[in-house]
Amino acid sequence: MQGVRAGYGQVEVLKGIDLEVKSGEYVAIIGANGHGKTTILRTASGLLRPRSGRVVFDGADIAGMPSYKVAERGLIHIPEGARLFPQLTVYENLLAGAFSRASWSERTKNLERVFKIFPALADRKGQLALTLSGGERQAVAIARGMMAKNVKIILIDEASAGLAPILIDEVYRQVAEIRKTGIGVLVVEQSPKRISDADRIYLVENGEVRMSGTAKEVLESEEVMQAYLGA
Amino acid sequence: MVDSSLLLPPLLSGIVLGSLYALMAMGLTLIYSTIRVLNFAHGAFFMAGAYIVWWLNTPSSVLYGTLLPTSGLALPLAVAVIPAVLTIFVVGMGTQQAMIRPLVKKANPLITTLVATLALATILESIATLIFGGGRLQFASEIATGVIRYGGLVITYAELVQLVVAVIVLVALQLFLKRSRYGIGMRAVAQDLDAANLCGINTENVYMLAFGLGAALAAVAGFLLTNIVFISPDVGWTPLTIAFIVVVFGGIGSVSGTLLASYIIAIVQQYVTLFLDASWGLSFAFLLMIAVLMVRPRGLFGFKEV
Repeated sequence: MQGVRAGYGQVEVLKGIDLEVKSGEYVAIIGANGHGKTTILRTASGLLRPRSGRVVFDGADIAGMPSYKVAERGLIHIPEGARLFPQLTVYENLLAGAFSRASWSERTKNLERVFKIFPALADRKGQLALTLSGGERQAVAIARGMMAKNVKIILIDEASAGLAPILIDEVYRQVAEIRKTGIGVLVVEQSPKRISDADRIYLVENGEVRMSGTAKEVLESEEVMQAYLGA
Repeated sequence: MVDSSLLLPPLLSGIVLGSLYALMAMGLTLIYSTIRVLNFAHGAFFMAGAYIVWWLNTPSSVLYGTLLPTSGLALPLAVAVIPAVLTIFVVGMGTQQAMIRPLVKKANPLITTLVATLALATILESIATLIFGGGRLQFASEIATGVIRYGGLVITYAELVQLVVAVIVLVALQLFLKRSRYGIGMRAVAQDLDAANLCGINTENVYMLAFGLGAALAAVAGFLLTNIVFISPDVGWTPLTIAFIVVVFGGIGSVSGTLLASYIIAIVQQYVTLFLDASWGLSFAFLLMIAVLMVRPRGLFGFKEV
C-alpha cells in the first residue's frame, strides 16, 4: 500500500497509509479502536475504493478492483466477527470459500488441507454455522478463506476479539500452521499481546502509520507505551 | 353436514395447486432473498411463458393481435415449453442487468425496483395484447387426456403432469441450491453480501442467475397452470398475488416456510371453495395470512435477518 487515503462519506479515515507485506511474511497492525485498522483491510480487499494511492498485489495495482477478483488473485480478507453464513452448514461455508472456478475444481483437495489445520471442524461439517461457539466460528472463517486456490496473503481482522484467552491461543496456533504453508499473514489486533513473534509490526494511529519496525523495536518503543498506557 | 367422501378430493387438488404455488413463490423468494427485490413482474413472466408456449403450439399462422402472427409450428406442448422457459430465463437475466442492476446501487432500491418491475409487468402485458389480442386463449393440444379414478378420488392426467413436473422442478431447485457452486453462492450472497464478496463470489453473476432462475420458475408455473385455465394478458396477476401471500405467510427468504405455506394456502382455498364458494378462496387465504402475521410478524418460518 502506498499513500492510501480512504474513508466513508465526508470522513477520511486513512490519511496516507504506507504498508507492506512480503510473501511468506508475518506482519501485524496494532492500534486502538477507531483509528482505521479495519479500513486498511477493507481497502486492501476491495470492499472500499481508495480515494488516492496505490494498492499493489503480486505486481498489479488492485486499488478499486471488485473484492471477488481480489480474492481470486489470492489476497484473502477474513472479516472481523467471522461473518459466517449463519444458515449454511460448516461444510457449505467452506465450499462458499471455494467459489471461484479455479478453487471449486480443487475443493476436495483444499478441504483435506483445511481439515489438517482445523481438525475439530471435520466433526462439525453438517452443523449450521449459527450454532457454533465463538472460537469455532473464527476457525471456520479462517478455514473458509483457506479454501481458495493459490492463497498468497491472508488478512485477519481482530481474530481474538471476544474470545477467551485459551481460544485466542488456538487461533494463533492456527495462524502459525498457516504460516508454515508459506502463506503471508497480516493480523490486525487492538492490543500488542500475542504478536511478539511477528516479523514486522505497524502501529496505526488516526489513519496514519505512527511507527513500524521489528516486533522488538515496536513493542518496546515509547510510542507503543504511550498508545497503550497513556504514559 | 357434508358427506365425508367429499373431504378428500379438495386435499388432492390442494396438493396439485400447492405445487404450482410453490413454483411461483420459490421464484419470488429466490429473487427477493438474493437481490432484495420484490419482483412485481413475476406474474408477467408467468403470463409470457404461457403465451410463448401457446405461440409455438398453435397449428395455424393467424394474426390475433396487431403485431405478429402465430407461428403455425404446432409444436407439442412438452417440446414448446423448453424454448419458452429458456426465453424467460434470458429475459430475467436481461431484466437484472439492464434494469435492476443500475437501480440497486442507488438510493431507495426497494422502492425503485418495485416500481420498475411493476412498470415492466405493465409493458409485458401491453406487448402480449399487441401480439395475441386481449381475448382468452387456450392451448390447441392437451398435455395429457383422461382421468385416474381410485376409490372416490379422481385426478386427471393433466393434473398429474402438473404435480409431477412441479415436484421434479422443486427437487432440482433444492439440489441446485444445496450442492452446486452457484447455488451455494446464491445462498451466501443472500445471507452476507460483504462476506460473500470476500469469498470470491461474483455477486453480479449470482444476481443475474437468481433473477433468470426466478423468472424461469414463473414461466414453468405459467405453462402448467394454463393447461387448465385460459390464457389472457392479465392471467399473471392472481398468481402474483398468491405468490406474495405465500412468501409472506411462510416467512420471506425461508425455503421450507415457502413450501409449507404454498400447500397450506392451496388446501385452505380448496376447502373454502367446497364449503362456501370459489370466489371466497383468495379472501380466506389473505385472512389466514393476516392472522398468522399478527402472531408471527416474520411469517411461519421467518428468522431474524443478520
